[in-house]
Amino acid sequence: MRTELLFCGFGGQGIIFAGKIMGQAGVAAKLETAQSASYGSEARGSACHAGVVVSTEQIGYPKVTKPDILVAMSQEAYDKFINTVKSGGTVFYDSHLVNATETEGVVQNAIPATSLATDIGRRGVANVVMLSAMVASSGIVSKDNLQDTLDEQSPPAFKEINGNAVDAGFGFKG
Amino acid sequence: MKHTIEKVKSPIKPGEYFLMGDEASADGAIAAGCNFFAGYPITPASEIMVRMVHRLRETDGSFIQMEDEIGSICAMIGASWAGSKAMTATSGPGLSLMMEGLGYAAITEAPIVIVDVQRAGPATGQATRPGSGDVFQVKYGSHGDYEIIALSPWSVQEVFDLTLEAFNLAEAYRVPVFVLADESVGHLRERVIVPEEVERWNRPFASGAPPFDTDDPNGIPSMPAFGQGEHLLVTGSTHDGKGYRKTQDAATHEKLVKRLVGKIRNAADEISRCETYQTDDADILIVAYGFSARASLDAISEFRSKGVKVGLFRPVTLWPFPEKGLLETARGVKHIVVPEMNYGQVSREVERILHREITALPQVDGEGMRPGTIVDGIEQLIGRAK
Amino acid sequence: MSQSLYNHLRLNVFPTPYCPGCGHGILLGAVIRAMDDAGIDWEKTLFVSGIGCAAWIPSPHLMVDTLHTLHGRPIAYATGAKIANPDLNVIVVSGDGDLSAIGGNHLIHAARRDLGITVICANNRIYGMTGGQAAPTTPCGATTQTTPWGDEERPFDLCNLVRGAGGKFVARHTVFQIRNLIKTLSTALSTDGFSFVEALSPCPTHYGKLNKIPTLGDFQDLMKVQYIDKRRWDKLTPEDRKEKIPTGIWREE
Repeated sequence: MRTELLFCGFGGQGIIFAGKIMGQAGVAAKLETAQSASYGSEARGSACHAGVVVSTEQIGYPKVTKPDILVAMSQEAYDKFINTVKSGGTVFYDSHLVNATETEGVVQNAIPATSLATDIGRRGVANVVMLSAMVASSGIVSKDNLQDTLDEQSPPAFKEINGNAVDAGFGFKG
Repeated sequence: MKHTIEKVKSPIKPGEYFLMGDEASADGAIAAGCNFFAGYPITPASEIMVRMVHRLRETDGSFIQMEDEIGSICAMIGASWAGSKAMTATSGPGLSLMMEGLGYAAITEAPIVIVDVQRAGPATGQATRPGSGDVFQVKYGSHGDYEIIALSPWSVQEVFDLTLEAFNLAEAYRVPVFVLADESVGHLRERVIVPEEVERWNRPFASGAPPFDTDDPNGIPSMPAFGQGEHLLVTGSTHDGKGYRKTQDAATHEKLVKRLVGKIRNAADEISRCETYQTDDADILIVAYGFSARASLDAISEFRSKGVKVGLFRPVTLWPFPEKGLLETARGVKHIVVPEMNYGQVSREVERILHREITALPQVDGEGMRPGTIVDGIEQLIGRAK
Repeated sequence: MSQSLYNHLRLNVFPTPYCPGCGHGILLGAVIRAMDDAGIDWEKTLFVSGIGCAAWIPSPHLMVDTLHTLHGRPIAYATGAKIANPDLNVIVVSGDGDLSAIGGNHLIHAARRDLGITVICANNRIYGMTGGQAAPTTPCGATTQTTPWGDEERPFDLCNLVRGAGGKFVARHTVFQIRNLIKTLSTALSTDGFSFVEALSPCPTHYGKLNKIPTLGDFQDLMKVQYIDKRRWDKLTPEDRKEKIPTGIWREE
């Protein structure tokens, strides 16, 4: 069983970090995992995306072609990728940053990630809120897998705020 | 002479990691005992250098950021002769600058490891995009006759494993060894398992033995280091067994060139390695390496689900090319396709080895090889055959 | 030269390949004496050279570890060897074209990073091995194969260049100022950090033939007039300096 996830937005939002955490959590969950990212010359502000493939079997082609799950954090990225989502796929978008367009065969979930992140005191963890809401809904990895991976991959000072962001994502009911 | 083998506890903490290919290359080097890195920043290989800064500090090795890639390869050769296991990491433009030094490493038989994270060329090309256009350059890019070894990883685990192996081969054969990765694998993150124990090969050495000639039929002389009191004469000019320049002597030149080339060609069966997937009943054989081989797996399942028997031959060493393995696997196969991220390099080598018509499937758009490129190519081939 | 110093030579390769009147043999002798004076351990010493006449000074004449490298790259090789094994005394001997044209970048960067090596530049102001082409050190107006009507470019002042790049010890002498040269080389070899000695060496075969200085004696006469102590040179007017080249120490830390 192969699932393709695509995280997209612009540089500086922690898109690639979210992809990396998803991949690492997949490894912790004993799944085969491959994560790739778009690399431009610019570090901040330009469009960027990270793809994650998780599978119960050996992964051949490790890049995302038709995502089962799209996580979008900018209008530009959403518009670019919405039509690549597999029929029957799921979209999670930051309702603060994206106006969704109706797309046939795709279930779309509005997550007020930026607002939730602002509420817990740090707008910068909107990426973690998005990731958590997606994980809560899809069940690809467990909350523990996600939380442990975040703790392992972030500086200790971020432990509390990340924990709050995960809770916010998991607690959100659309 | 024969190298020595030691088994050591891995200096990288054993266990399971989720690493980028570039990071895995640095860790594989450290596991191999690499204790010297010289490099110059270049996309998409810089991550290797950055990780080596930290790794070499942890393991008491030496690191230097040189003023250019020419300096990097020269510093590496100097370090290699000073007794270090030396490495650099680069990409196309840097590799081009290193070509004269490559010939120097070959003629002085200095073990060095060059990780080439290939990008789309020529020239600056697309710096952040993959390619595999350096396959011929590593083999033929420096002037004159010489041999090198080149390994082609298709996964992040294999980047770790093959970087380690590259050091072992470099030491055993006293030859430059390339890890021919590409941006697709270099920037890919996957699970990597670091073992408890690693096997390291060390250069052959016997005090007083000539450093540039041997009676051993394997053609590999003893390699002393500077500072051991051996009064070494190391030169990039044609030299006799002791290192004395013989720039006018035909016999010395011929003997040297034949040994430099022969020590690798004669050991091609020992060095070369390949893998096959679903080839036993295959009518169509894909010959693919590195990232293109990953895409081939998806193409194979697609065809197999429709009853078309497609298999994969994957050279793990590109140089020396696993000729015997290819000849055996290709026997009885109806069609051979060679997808690669260049305009046809290994496809020519396959044609040369098999003396038959093959179909090259070049993808030169600066993207990693897509399964679709291979599927389309094979479908066209089947269509034509009908 | 005392008998014990002969032990540092590979006598089987003598005579040297140098043309009659070439100054490089004098420099070879000066290097050996300076090594002795400075008390450097030969067994822990690596001589590195590039390509050209001067690159043959250490290799193969010295009975010591030698690394005869690519054109322009000896300092890059020396960098690797020194960093890999800091216990080695690493000494580069090469020519002006090798070190300041094709290899100029490595020279300034080694000085900048204060690499603990000594670079000895045998400067004959021309490409000798390839038959006499212009170098970055060829004086204005001098005739070479590639400047048959006189060199129109300005030459590098190597000592000022290396001093500007951060060399710890920087000096220049002609091979005729043999006592000063040996003493300077010895100081350079004892310097903790990057040291650079420019040894001006005559090339009667190419430079001399093309510029009407046919013999070693002619060079000696000319150099005696042309080269003056830096302390004296410093006091000259800009007009008087034109025909003179200073020798001495540029920097000593």
